[in-house]
Amino acid sequence: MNVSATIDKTSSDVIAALGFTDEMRILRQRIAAWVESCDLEMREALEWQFLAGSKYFRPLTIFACYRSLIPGPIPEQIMSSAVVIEFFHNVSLVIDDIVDRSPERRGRATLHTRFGELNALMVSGYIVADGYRYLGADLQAIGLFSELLKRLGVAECMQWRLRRQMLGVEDWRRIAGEDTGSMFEVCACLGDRSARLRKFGGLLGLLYHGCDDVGDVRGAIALGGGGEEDVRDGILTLPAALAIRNPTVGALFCKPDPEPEDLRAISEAFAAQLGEAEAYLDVIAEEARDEAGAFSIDPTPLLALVDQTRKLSGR
Amino acid sequence: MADNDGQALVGGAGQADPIAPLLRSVADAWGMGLQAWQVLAGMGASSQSGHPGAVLAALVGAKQNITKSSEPVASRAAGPGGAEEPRQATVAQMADISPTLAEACMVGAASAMRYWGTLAELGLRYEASLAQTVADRTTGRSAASPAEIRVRADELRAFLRGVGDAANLEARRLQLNLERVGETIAEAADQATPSPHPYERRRRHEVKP
Repeated sequence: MNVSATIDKTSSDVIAALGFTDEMRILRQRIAAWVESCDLEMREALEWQFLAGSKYFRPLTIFACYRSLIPGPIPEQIMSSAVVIEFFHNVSLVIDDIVDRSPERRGRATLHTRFGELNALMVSGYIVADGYRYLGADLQAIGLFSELLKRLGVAECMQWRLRRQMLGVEDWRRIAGEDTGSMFEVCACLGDRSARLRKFGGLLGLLYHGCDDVGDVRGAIALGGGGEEDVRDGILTLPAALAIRNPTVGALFCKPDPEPEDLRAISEAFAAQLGEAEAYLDVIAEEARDEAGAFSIDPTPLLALVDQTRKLSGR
Repeated sequence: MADNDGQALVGGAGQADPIAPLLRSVADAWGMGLQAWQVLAGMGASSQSGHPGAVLAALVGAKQNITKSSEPVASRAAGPGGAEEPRQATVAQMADISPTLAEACMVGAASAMRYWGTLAELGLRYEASLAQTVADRTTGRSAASPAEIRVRADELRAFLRGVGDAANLEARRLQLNLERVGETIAEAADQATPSPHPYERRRRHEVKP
């Protein structure tokens, strides 16, 4: 089968603007070659998961963090780290989709919908195991990926335990910081290898998570519904944390089995908080820009990442 | 501390002691900051403690000034005169003696001012919640509803996180800026005493090519 990992249009524009077109081409070739090298039993599922469109935002973050400190070509260790972050990111997507019972992602069936839960779980384990093998003797990267998997696991459990509760924006920040925040923290550390940009990565992840939360609400409005898994499950998103300051909305949000009209009322309350949520995200974006300016040598690629991430809320 | 010629670099009592005013400015910055937070802590308990907003606003202003003046020492020392002439003269004098040490002092002074300025910004941003909390504690009762108390708790948590973040950010920034000054010293020393193994910056990327 002739396969190649594809890239979506928005991402390809950003990649070109940052000057990483060649690096991204190599990355996609590496992923495709890895899929081809995998056990036949797993290959169809891996092709399904990896060879659809992707934003490749995490590898891009690794490249940008490297380039913000050191000019010149991307070294082999950094490239391998970028490949493996895409592996691990896909593992987190597969698990999220199972937990959220999501039937579709990126406009096509999720892995567990297409191949069943057992296959999806086994493929996830296979990716993780081979991801570590792929890193070879890069002990620093191995340590960072271990940190990532542990923190993602903790974040998922914490998020699930804290659902349907009257919590605040600071609680959202903590959950998001361990979830998407840890992913981008590790990306920054894999790119700069000195931990100087760790905080920048954390803020970028927080921004990404918040913009995604807001974008979901905005998307639901545009679609006249849909994308309501977080509302249904009582997940603490940024608009939720702001909306449940109103006790009436909070009471609906905390109901164990909300009726359809409850969900509609909650969604409307979330939508009413979009302005305040956007203002909060602007503050996080500014903090990330300050970090980039203070701790990089050439902040240009980092500032471009922040700007691109900020657009994800769909404002 | 003495250089190779046995001359004092820091802390000398003679008339050519340009470091002292800068060290005093750092001490002043810490004093102003402490005063602001003492006023803030005493809010509601004493009417003689002054209005915290004014003290905090003064600190924010000082932070903005130090941010403007924290460019490299050499460029400031070589710049034209004007309103800041006496200060520039001091910096220029220091630059003559030990440019890198002068720069390190400036880095430290700027860091102290930025730190207290950031704390002052936080104090102003969360002034209402802090004042209400202190007032409730003083009177021993609160008219706030449970929902209002939750919002206030969230704001106080954001304030405390901000205070911690400010310390962390400024410590990392100070460390990085002093490392850069240290690199300059090491490179200068390397040029002064040529060796078959030239000094290389220590913060080399550990990634193999």
